[in-house]
Amino acid sequence: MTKYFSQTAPTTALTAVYRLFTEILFNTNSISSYLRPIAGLFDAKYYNQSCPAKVVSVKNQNNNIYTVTLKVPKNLFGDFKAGQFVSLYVEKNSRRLQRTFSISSTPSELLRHGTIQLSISKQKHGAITPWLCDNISIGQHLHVSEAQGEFILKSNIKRLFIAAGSGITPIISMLRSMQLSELSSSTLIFYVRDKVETPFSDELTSLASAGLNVEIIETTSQGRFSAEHLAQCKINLLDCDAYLCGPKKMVDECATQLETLGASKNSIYYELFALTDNSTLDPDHPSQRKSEITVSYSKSGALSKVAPDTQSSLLELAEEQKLDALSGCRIGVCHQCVCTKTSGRVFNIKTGSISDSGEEEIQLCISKPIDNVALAL
Amino acid sequence: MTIPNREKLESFAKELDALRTETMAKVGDKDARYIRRLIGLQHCLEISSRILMVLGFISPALWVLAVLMLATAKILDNMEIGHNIMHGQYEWMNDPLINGRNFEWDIAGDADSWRRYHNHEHHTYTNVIGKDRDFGYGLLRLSDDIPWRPKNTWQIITYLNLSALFEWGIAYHEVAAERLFIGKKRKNSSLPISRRELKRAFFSKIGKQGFKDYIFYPLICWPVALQVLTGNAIANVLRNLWTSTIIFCGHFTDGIHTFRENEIKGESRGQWYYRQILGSSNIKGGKLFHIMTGHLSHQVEHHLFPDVPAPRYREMAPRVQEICLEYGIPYNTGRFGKQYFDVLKRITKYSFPTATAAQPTS
Ligand code: FES
Repeated sequence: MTKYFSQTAPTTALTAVYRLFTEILFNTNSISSYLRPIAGLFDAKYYNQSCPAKVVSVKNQNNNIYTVTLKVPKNLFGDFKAGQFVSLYVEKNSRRLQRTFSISSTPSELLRHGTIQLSISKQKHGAITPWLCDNISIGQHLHVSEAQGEFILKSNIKRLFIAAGSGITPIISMLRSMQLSELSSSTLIFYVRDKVETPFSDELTSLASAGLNVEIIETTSQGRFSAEHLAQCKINLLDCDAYLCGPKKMVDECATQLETLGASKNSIYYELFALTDNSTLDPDHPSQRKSEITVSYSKSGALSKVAPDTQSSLLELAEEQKLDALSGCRIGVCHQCVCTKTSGRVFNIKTGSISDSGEEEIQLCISKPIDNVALAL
Repeated sequence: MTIPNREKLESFAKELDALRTETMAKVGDKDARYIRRLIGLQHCLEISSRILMVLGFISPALWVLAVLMLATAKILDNMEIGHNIMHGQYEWMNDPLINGRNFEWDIAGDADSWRRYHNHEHHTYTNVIGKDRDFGYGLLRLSDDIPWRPKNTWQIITYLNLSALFEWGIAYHEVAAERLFIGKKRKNSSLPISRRELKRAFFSKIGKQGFKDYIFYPLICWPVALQVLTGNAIANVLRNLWTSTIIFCGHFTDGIHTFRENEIKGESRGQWYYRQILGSSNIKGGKLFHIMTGHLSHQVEHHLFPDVPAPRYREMAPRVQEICLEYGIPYNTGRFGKQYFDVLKRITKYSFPTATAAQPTS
């Protein structure tokens, strides 16, 4: 999924010879992986092979959301479209942890200054988001993947944006990158818990003065998305595209309502904002939170659906799907069954601990899913 | 050797589990810095030894130094770095550079093949006769469980040869088990790849390794080709002798025990721990010595906790020893000289038919 862990490049005769040569001399598939540990003796940033991103500034949007500006090397990062996200890799006590965040800055800022901004909301039980805010320092290197995601602007310039909470981040990038003519034909409905705490309030004011129809709605006093809120903004749903971003529940509700109000399904685009940074959440009663857990296998496209109190290990589940998962001892000793988990938390049967929620290596034979889990199998 | 019942060993297992949890909680920056720096230094050592080898024509002393440096680089790569990374000891870092699944090492044996039989067979079925083929490597008779054959009479010579050619033994290990070239095809093979793939991987790795040390480097240093060739060969043999000696001291000393397949059926975690301790022995020494053995000088701790970063074994060892004392379980450790003498004694002792030995059936 990310360019971080995959090392596949198109093989031409020349690269094949190069690879054979480095395998013979250095037992790796690139000279750089042999030299990086040496360079790392002098500067730790060389240990990483993803795209190093230097922290330029950190700014609080409100009590909960902070914006990190990162300088990225042009050749490695490439470019992005407003609305896309990146994987951010940070090292916490030398453990590399991964989270995905939407880019809140614009492609033109990347062109001009070589920077991107990530606006990160601190999640209460998160292992990364609150910690990073306190431990980040200017000049430090973090690592990002290339930009990914399909939540991008389409050609129709009549647009309705509906965001909830930190779901504003990809949308603010879209709005910032829009022309004046596009802004004046578009509307933003933004749900916040408390108006005083509205993130990006300065930007929203200037976007409003540039012609964008901005409606900020306090959920505590005015409730969640409803037809009246829509009516307030005087939008013709029939000829505009809708862009939704927020928690799954909010997106689902909005989408159904929009459809009943006459919007066509094909003109609704959305991005779900899952609570991805939740590795220390209490898993005591997973069954009360979910009735079913899905394990998805990204390479084969297969799926397993299991009860939350399943006794099967991920290895057994993968074998049921006839996937070719390696195994050996099946008791957590040999590490033959190690596989990359791209997201979701697992319970380690052997140590009784709960994994991180991001991308990492796990032993399938002693792991049980406790969230929806995605495996690179 | 009979194994105590599971109830007896339950709290014993709990204490060892707790020790593991406690240690893993401490693992972090320090361990990462250590392994990363060691890899960097090992690469520097290898590069400089290859350069110095060429400069050997200036003075033989330089050449000798280069050979020792190259042997050291190979030992570090194989033991403290490769062996430990491939056990998944640094998996918690999620660092693609230090990934146990992809690591390949500077030795004739293919890493994938080694990962299969060593991590699984040897570490799960340690010293179970017939299951752990590391016990005597199918060449040596090291306990009464194995019937005596005339060829055992000169097994001390076989042992010395095996020691000097150890890397080829490692390369051939799985191929031999699958009886790829000689013998009848293994009946209950769990090989996850085809026999053809195994054959390819086997030849590919020994080819690459042989090409590097015996063709490529000598050729590019043409005027001094012979000096480079012999230097590389000696470095490889030194590494072979060192690794095999350390490994023999870890599993074939006097006090170690063997087990029968039927004893380990439905084994509990405590019983597994118990078997690991009785099947292994430690070597005492200083920090540098431990690093040079890849911490296999802490074979007991390694077998109990194969995926805990090895340098942590040093601080775990006193606790393990205490726990063993508490439960009256023998903990085998000694100075290098003593342990090695024990190994030689064992090899000689079982060269001859012993009174209680089972007789060969055919
Ligand atoms: S199969 Fe051996 S650790 Fe999972």
